[in-house]
Amino acid sequence: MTDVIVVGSGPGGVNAAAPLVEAGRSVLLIDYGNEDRHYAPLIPHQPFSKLRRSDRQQHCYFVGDHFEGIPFGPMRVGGQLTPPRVHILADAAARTPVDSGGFAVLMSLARGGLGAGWSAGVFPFSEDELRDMSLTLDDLRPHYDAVAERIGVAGDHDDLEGFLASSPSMMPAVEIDSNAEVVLARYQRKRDALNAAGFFLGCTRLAACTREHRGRGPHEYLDMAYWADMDRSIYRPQWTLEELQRAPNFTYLNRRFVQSFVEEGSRVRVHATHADTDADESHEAAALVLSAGTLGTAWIVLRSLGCYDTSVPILCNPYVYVPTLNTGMLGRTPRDRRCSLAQLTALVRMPGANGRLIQAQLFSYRSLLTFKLMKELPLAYRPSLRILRLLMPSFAIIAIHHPDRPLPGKSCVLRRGEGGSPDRLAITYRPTEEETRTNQADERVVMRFFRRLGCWPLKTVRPAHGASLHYAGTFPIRPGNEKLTCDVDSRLRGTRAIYLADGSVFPWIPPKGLTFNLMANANRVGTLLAERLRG
Amino acid sequence: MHLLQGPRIDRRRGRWCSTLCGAPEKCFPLRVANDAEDGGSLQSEARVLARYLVGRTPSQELIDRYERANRALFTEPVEQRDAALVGFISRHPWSVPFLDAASGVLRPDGLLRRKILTMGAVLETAPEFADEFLPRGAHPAALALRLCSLGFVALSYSVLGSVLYAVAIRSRT
Repeated sequence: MTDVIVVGSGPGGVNAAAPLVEAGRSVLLIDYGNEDRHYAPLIPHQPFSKLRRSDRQQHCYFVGDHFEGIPFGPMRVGGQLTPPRVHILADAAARTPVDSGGFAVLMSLARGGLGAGWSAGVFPFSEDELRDMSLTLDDLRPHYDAVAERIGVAGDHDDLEGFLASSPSMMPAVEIDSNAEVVLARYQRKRDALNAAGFFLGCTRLAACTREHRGRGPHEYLDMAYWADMDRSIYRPQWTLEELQRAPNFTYLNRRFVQSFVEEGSRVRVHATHADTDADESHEAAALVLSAGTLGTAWIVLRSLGCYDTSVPILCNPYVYVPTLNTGMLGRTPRDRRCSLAQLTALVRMPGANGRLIQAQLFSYRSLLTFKLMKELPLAYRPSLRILRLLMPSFAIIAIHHPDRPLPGKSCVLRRGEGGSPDRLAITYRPTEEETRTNQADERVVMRFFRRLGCWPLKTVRPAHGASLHYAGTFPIRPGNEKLTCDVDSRLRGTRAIYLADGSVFPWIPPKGLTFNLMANANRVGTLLAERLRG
Repeated sequence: MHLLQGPRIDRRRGRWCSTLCGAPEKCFPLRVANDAEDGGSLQSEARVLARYLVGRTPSQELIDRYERANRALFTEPVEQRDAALVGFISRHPWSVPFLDAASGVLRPDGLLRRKILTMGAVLETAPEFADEFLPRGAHPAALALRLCSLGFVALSYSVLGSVLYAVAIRSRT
């Protein structure tokens, strides 16, 4: 008999399953499990610049068989999801329809979930940030460490250390590229003054292996991270899933779409549909861990509890990105060897009494191809191309994340499907004017610091609400006994053994990526559940 | 010969229709162009756009790829001004930089810009043109000089192009 059913193979699912499997519990992981079997085998194991000059089949994966990699119109949400990554979004919109107005919704039914395209930033919450979540750093620290060991984290003991807790297993940082080197050198020269003003800069902590770890890596600096996982150095939940599949007490059941659950005495029954045959089936266990992604989990929970037309909160931290010209890089030839992901992370303490911290990452641009930038210039394409070739090595793109807190204008409701169509989530997301004003003021402060480092803004791009894909907060951990919330163990209130292990449980989102934190919380859920089942 | 891929506007009917509702493509089901005729047009369009972007004629393989991309991407009915612009550059290849520049300001997401972008994608992902798209270093002085001259050229294209644009969108499709 199965002890625990886990729904979803994303960052939450596999990291909840891992401690359960390690503790000897029998685990059934139910997943839809879409995979890319087409593009990945076509991509040669070569650096970006080399295969650009040699591979005659590169158009297959760079623009896609159906030319789906040619983006028209305004910069779209999920632009980093290249043709080899598009499978991550397949089928989700049809299976779990969402009416969202201007709120961008990307959901995944892929093996690894949205984590299969994760940008791998590791930003653990601070004590201050966790306080509002009814958690402490002591609650999460062992799980941060366990997850860091499992996924492999690379980082430096630099000025970020005071804000981002390190783990004992941390590997040396990923080498930064020429662009970031220039910015970091300028920071070092002005470090004391910048620190005194509340600005701290360091190498981005990445879920990447810079040495061989669990059969992965070391990172080969091929600049192909947006297209393929050739050296498997960047963490994907699929790597943990593969490890789990080697355990005799773990079963992976894919091509299943979970519809609902019901608690019957001491058991939980999960109803699912076979993705290929549409046949209904059910599975039973002592406990259920839902990690179908915040929106997928909301769909399952609200259906299962019959909570149609009942509003729950929805969060997704807003972000902007600011392409800048790094003047220190002008006229320099960049090194070919580079990692595609975020190079540097800045933490900026906002002026004022409460000392809020805002986080920004610095990216360089190359492997997402030049033609996609051409359409961003209001010039003829031929001179645009020539200008971009000269300036691209000097582009530093600053991505600024803002916090998000629940407000009456941010809600998610399940509507009953009509005429046999699936139930639909309806999302309203309207930040207040004050939030928008505060965010824009914060951006000005952040960019003032980057100007001091020689990065001059060219424009500010504000993607649609929801574009960060950090969905959270639908069933938050809260004290009290409010319905449709979770207790401190991430157990859904009013249930006996339904646990949530994705973004759903976070009552607010600090201005940073959520993924590493939800993995740590999932590990905590799995650990707690293993102990409970043993008792 | 029309150089526009896919459904085209019958200009005479379009005009008549536009006096009724202002949206010819909604009033009349647009004729889907004959594939053989249209294929030839797309091939010459590919040569024009490639020469514009990189100054060279691409291989037949890339021309065929551009044609396939057009058939995959441009399946919607086309607005008359878009059809007129694409028709104009096909008849007058010298006008591409000017109309491209003007479209960049006046109609950045129009059909002409989309088609040139598509050609850009086809060329960028071909090894023989990789170096035309990969970043390139330059001495700061040379960089400044090059940027100034490119900026001047781009601006000139835009100014002259905006005059030509007004003529081209009224031309026959």
